[in-house]
Amino acid sequence: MLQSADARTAPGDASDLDVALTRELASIVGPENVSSTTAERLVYEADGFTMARRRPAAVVHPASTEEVQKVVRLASAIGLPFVARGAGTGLSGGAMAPPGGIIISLTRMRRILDIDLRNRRLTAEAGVVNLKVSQAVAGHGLHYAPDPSSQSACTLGGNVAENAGGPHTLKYGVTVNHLLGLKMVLPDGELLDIPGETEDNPGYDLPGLITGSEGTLGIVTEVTVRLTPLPQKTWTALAVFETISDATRCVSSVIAAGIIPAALELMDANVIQAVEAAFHFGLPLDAQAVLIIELDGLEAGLDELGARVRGICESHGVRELRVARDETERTALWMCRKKAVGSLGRLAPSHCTQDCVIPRSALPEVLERIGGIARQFGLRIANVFHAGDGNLHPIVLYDDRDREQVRRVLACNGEIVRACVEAGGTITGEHGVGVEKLEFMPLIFSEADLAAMDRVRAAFDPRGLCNPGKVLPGGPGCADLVLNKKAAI
Amino acid sequence: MSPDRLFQRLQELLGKEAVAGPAEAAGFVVGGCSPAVGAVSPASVEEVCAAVRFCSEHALKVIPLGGATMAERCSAPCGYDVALSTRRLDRVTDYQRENLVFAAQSGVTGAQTVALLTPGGQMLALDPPSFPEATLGGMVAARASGPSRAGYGAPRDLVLGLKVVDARGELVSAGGKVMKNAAGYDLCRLYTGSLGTLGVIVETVFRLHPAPEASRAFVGMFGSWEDADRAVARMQTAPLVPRAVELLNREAARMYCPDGHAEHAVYLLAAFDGTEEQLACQQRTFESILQETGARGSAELDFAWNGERHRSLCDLERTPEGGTLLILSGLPSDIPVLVSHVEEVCAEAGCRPVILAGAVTGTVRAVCPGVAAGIRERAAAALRGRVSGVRGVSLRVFAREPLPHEMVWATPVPGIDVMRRIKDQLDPDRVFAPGRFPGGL
Repeated sequence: MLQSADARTAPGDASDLDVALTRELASIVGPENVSSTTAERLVYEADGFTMARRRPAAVVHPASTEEVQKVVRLASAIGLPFVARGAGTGLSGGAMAPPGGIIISLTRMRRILDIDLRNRRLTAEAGVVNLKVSQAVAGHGLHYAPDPSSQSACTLGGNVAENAGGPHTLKYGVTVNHLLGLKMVLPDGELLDIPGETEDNPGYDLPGLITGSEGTLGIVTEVTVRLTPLPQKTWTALAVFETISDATRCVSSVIAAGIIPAALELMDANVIQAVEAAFHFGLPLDAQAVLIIELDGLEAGLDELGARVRGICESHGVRELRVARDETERTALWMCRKKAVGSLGRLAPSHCTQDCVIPRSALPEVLERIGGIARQFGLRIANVFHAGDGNLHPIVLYDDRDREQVRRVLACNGEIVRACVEAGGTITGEHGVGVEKLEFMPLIFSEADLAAMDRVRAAFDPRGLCNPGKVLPGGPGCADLVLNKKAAI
Repeated sequence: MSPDRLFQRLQELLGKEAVAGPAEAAGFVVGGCSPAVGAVSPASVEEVCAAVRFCSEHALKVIPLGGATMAERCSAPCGYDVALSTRRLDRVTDYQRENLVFAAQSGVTGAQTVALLTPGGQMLALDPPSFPEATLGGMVAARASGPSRAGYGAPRDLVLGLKVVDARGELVSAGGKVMKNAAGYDLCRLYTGSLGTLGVIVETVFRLHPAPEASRAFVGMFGSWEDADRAVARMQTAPLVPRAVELLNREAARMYCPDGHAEHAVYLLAAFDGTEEQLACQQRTFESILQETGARGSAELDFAWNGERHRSLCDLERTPEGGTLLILSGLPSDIPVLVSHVEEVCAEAGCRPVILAGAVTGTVRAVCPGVAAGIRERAAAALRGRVSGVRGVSLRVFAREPLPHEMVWATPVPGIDVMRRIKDQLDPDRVFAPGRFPGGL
C-alpha cells in the first residue's frame, strides 16, 4: 500500500516536529518516551486497518493521567492535532495520526488500580490489556464480559473508544453495557471524572456518549468496569452444515425460538480450511459452514436447553453436532474461532475485514447476496462472524501488491456495505467508522443526524484537534483522508 | 405576540383539537405550573416538527410530556409556555418478533406494549412505577427503571435506536434496529435520560426479551441491614441469576406484604425467572444462604412479570402527594450506611420513610410521607451533608410540588460543565424544559 504524501516526504531520520517542541514533550514524559526517529514512527503509521497510513510527527508515551493532561495542554496551546492509541488493533483506521499530528500512546498506563469483588467493579488504567482483567479476577469466579477476538492484545481504552464487542456480547452486551465510570482528558487538557461507584450519575449519560466515539471527544485514561460472574455451567457445541444457508436459517430459528445463547458464531468453508490447516482441530473440510453454539448459565435446565438447540439444528439439516466434552475441547474450539482471521494468511497474502450488522432474520438472504457480490468482483470472501447478533464479518482475500485487485476490493466492500444497509442494517457493529467507513455514513444518517453529531463533537472539541478526520464525514482533515485513500489505489 | 394570538396560531398550525389553552390544560401541569400559552398534542412526527419550529421561532419554552407519571422527577421549570404531549403519537411502527425488536412512537403506553407483546411470548423488560400508564417516550426520557433492572438492564441497555425532534424542529435519528451499532456517536445514550432537555423523543426502537416460563420471589427476614447485607454478599458468589434483589425496610414490607410479614427490620426479596426446575434450584440456594446468614424467617411470593405482586413492588416508590422521594445511588456495599443516614435524618424530621434498596444497583429510594416544607429542606440539607463524604454517592430529592434545581440535584453533578456545553450546542436558545435539569439547564 502506498503511504500518504506527508509520510513519504518525511525527512531522513528526524521527527517532523521542531526540535523545541520535541524537547518540551520530552520534558513531560522523559526523552526515552518520545519516539521521534523515522524507524520508530514507522511502526505507528497504521492500526489494524492497513489500507490507510500516515506517519505521526512523533509518538509520546505518557505514564499517567497528569502526563496525558500536560501533553494535551501543550498540543492544544500550539494547535497540534493528536490521537490516542492503545494496542493499535483497531480495524477502521481510527488510531491513524491526523495530518501533521502526534500519537499519544497509552500502553505504559497498564496498572490495575482497584479490584472491588464485593461490588463487582474493577478500576484500571486505559492501557491495560482486555484479557488481563478477566485473568485478574478469574480466581474469584468473575470475568470481564466483552471479549473481542484481539483480547489478548487490545486495551481497555481502545475498547471504550470503539465500543468493542466480541462473541459473547450476544448475551452479555458490548463495552458500553459494562462501563460504569471513567477519567477522560478533554481536548483542552481539563479532566472529566465520572465516578464508577454509582450506576446513576445524574445528568446526561456521558460514559455512554463517550463509548464508541473513537477517541474524538477526548482521551480516556482510566475506566471502572463491571465484573460479571462466570456461569455455573457452559454447553458448547460445533454444528456442521452442508450449506451456509442451512446454517444461517438455523441461527434465525434459534433466536426466533426465544433462545439467547451466550455466543452463536459462524465460520464458512474458506475459514474452516484455513483454521484446520493452522490448528488441526478436526473441523470437517468438506462442510460449507459450522456454527459454534454456546449456552451458559445455571446448571439446572442447561442440558434441556441444549436439547432444544439440537432439535432446531436437526430441523435445519445439521450433519453433525459435536458437544465439547470438557474445558480443553471448549478452549480449543474457541481458539479456532478467535484466531480464525489470523489464520487466513494461509489463503491469501492480504485480507480486509468488513463489519456490518443486519437483522438476524435477514442472514440467509444477505449471505447469499454477499456470495454473489464476491463472484461479481472475482474475489474470494471468507465469512467468520457473530451470527447471533447479525454482525457480519465478510473478509475479502486479495493480494495488496496488485493495484487492480485493491481497486476491486474497495468496490466490493462498498457493495457489501450497501447490501447490508438495504437489508435494514448498519455499516459497522464493532469496528467503528474510523476512516474506513466515513464515505458510508450518509447511507444511514441524514444531514440532520450528522449535524447533531457534529454539534456534540463541537461541545467537546471546538477546535477540532482531537483525532480530526475520523467518524464524521466533512470534518477537518476529512477531504485529505479521502484523497489519501484514493491515492493508495 | 400575545399569548392569545400565539394560542390561535398554534391552533391554525395543528388544528383546534390538538391545542388546549392554559385553562383547559389541567392535565398538562408540569412542576406545579401550567403552560403560559397552552398544551399541544401533535398527531404525527411532522406535526411535532412544525410545533417545535413554531415555538423556537417565537422564543416559546417547551416541555415535552408523556404520561406524566414521573413528571416530578425533575427540578422546577423556570417558566414555560407550551406543554407538548406525545399522547397522540400512539402508533407501533415496527414489531419484528423473530428478531426481538420493537419500535413504537412515544405515546404508546406500557399497558399497550404488554397487550401487544404478551401473546407472542415476549416482553419489554422495563418496570418503573406506574408502568401501565407511563409512555415509552417518557420512560426513555426519564431513564425510568424498576427492580428488574438488576437482571435485564436499564433503559439505556434496551434502547437500540430513537428519533428526536431537535430544537430547530428537525428530525434526528440515532442508532438503528440491529443488535449492535458502532456507526457515529451513540446519541441514543445521550437522549436517554435527558429529561426532555435536548429534544422531543418521538419514536424508540427497543430490544425485547423472551417472556420467562415462570417467575417467583423469595423473601428473607433480617434483624438488621448489616445482616441482610451479608446475605446479599453471599448471593454474589452463589449460582443465582436474579431478576431483582430488593431490600425493604419494615414500613415498605408493611405496605407490600399485608399478610402480616412485617415485624422484622429488613426484608430481602430476590426474584427469579426461568423454568420450574431453575426456580426450585435457586430457591434452595437462596434459602441455604438465608440460614447461613441468620435470617429470622422466609416466605415465597408469586412474582409473575407485570403480575400484581410485581407491580405493587414497583409502585412503592411513587412520590406521594405532599411527601418527598429521596433517591441515593452508590456502591451496593454502601447501602447499610446510606440507609442509616436516611433513617436518622428522617427520625429528626419526625417521619417514617418507606425504604427500598436495589441490592445489585446500589439505589436507595426513600419515600417520606408528608413533611412540612421547611423541615424537608433542612432534612435534605442534613442528608446531603452526611453523604457528601462518600465518593460517588449521588442524592436526588423529589416532591410533587416544584423544587429548585439546587435542592433536587442535591450532590455535585460530575461532568456538569461538559453537559452545559452539550446543551449549548444542541439547544442554544434553551427551547426545551428550561430549569428541569442539573445545573438549572
